[in-house]
Amino acid sequence: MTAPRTDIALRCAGLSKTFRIYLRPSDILRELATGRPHAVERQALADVSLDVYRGEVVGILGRNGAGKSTLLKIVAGTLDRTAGTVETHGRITAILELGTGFHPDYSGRENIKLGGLCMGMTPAEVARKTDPIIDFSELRDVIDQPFRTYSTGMQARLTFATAISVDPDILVVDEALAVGDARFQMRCFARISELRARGCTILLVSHDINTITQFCDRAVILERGRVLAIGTAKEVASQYLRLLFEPKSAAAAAAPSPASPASPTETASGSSEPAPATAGARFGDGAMTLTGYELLDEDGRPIQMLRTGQRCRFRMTATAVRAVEAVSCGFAIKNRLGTVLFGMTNVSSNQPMTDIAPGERLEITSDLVMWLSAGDYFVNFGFGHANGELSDFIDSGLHFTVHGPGDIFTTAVVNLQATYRIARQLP
Amino acid sequence: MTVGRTLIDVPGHVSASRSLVRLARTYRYLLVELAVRDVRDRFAGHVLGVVWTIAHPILLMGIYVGIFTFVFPARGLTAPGRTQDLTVYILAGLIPWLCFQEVLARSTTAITGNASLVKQIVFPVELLPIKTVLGCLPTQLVATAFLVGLALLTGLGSPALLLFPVVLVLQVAAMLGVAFALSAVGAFVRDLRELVVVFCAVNLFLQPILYAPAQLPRVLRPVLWLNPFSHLVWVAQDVFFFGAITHPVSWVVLTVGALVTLGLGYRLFRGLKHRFGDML
Repeated sequence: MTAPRTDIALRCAGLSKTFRIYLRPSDILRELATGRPHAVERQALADVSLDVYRGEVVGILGRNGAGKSTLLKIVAGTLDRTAGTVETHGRITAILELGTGFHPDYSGRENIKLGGLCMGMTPAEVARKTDPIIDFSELRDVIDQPFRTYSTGMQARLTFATAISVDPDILVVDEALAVGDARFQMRCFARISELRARGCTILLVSHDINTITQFCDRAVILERGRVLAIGTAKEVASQYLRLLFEPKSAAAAAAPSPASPASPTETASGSSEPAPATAGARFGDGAMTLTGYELLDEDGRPIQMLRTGQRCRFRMTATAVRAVEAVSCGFAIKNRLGTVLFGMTNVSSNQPMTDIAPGERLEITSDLVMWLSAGDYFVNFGFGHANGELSDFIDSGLHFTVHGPGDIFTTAVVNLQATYRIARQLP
Repeated sequence: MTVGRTLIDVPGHVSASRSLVRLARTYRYLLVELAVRDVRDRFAGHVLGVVWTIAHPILLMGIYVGIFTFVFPARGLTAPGRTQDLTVYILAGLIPWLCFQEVLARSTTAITGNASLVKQIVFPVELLPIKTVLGCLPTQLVATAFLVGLALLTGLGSPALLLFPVVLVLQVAAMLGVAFALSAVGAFVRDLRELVVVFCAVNLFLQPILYAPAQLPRVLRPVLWLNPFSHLVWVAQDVFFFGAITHPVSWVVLTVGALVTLGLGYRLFRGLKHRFGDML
């Protein structure tokens, strides 16, 4: 490890937050009168320690309700902590929610003024910065119309443009950028890079793994209010994906020493007949029962995450309940939008259809090379009759994640295993 | 620390007031902007807009003058015979009370009504009750200008009018203290608003505004003396009606009371403000 750094911008030590939720307002009075607690307590943060150095961009990952926003609010100072300390050095600006502190009935221009003053600018400073803010937000045409008439994306643009105009030393961003269109997001990230080059420290919450891996130096996973992992953005991002899609490692979140990254093999179910984990709808006439389906790596271990270009195998098994003539069977890979990207059946692969008797088992394996690009994919499995009627079909029975090659568009669907060369030719 | 000790903890009040002044100085631009908007928002969407800030109190005063001059006959007051004097007497006490009443009613929701500011941005919440008080002042200032004119017209003008700024400062201090306390408690107990509204309706009659203390049965008079708001009324009447300090005790009570209220209110607010985020 490197020597301890001294240029700390933000330090949280042993930070805890317990919300006291009063089910009825009268419970507050009852508590005041009797001195006995009448509140339901919910621990949002538990012993969170985090050091962020100057000029660093740190991403915060975590499932819904993991305590991300609570942490940012405490850092920004809008929420009080229950225990622990927060130390910040420099001017801090937070974009916590959309249209933060903006008044819906005021025009965009008035809101810039009010927002600027709220952040401690003088009227002269605000006047000087109003035009650049309007330019950055690209809202000049509507800047004198009430804020409430803006679309969500426009509100986000104005919020962001105003918030970063103060040249903060520490910028805290809570998913506010997600609503802007791609072009505006790009410009925001350009501006964030600019701020960072100037030594600004940035704390960023995002659900988008690509954002985290591209913009953050380090990342943190919060799970149930605790720090599950801290490390380089790439390491932590892949750990987060495992956390998201594997019930087993999610349970490990509450483990006493959670900081060590779980190895991929730990996630193997061990059973030869993996139970449907992420299954959606399941239907069919019941003539056959799908008894198992899984994705295996080269060594035959069940996996849910793989590199693009990795060899893998889909395997599914079924048992006949009744006699079925001319069984058809297959699987299909869909993306998040439900578009089928790949699929195969015995019909499409010109395999003869077999007749099976009750109690007989069928195993289908398909070896393939995963040339899909980075993303999350879902697999349908199905058995049916020759006439197309289904005997057992499971929608999105399997979910898997592909790590993309880092060198192609993040929006790419497939990995074409390309190289890229530039040759200069003299005239 | 007992309540009694806190009450007379003068150094504590002084340091609280000092930090308050520092805060108001740091955020003076924002404060002015917020107060201006507070006034403007009340008439947002109105055809006459900000004109109502002046027109509203003048119309109101005009109506009061009409009622007190022609509808209520003047009887049994200290300046008998001249009905306009009754008007000055009543307005002298009524104007500060109307302003105070507005502060009381509006400060209970100063925090809860601005949840977006409290929750979402790094914002000095202390400004919210201050802004509420500042936003209530223009009405009183316009009405007072009207009253000064009326007092001069009816020959009740005196050098005592010069004491008005002193009264105003004390009144603002008291209003700030009350606004801090009510806005902080109002964040936790929302029923406070209803209680305050009822209190305001009753309290109008528990002060010597619409009548002279002498008109009250002797047994009820201690109520006037125990009501802190009465002293503001007497002091204002000294300035606009009696033209001399005829209620020295009230001047002392108002001065001490206003400063203690400010100190206590602000300290209560500071003690509770960390928990606002949890409640909204």
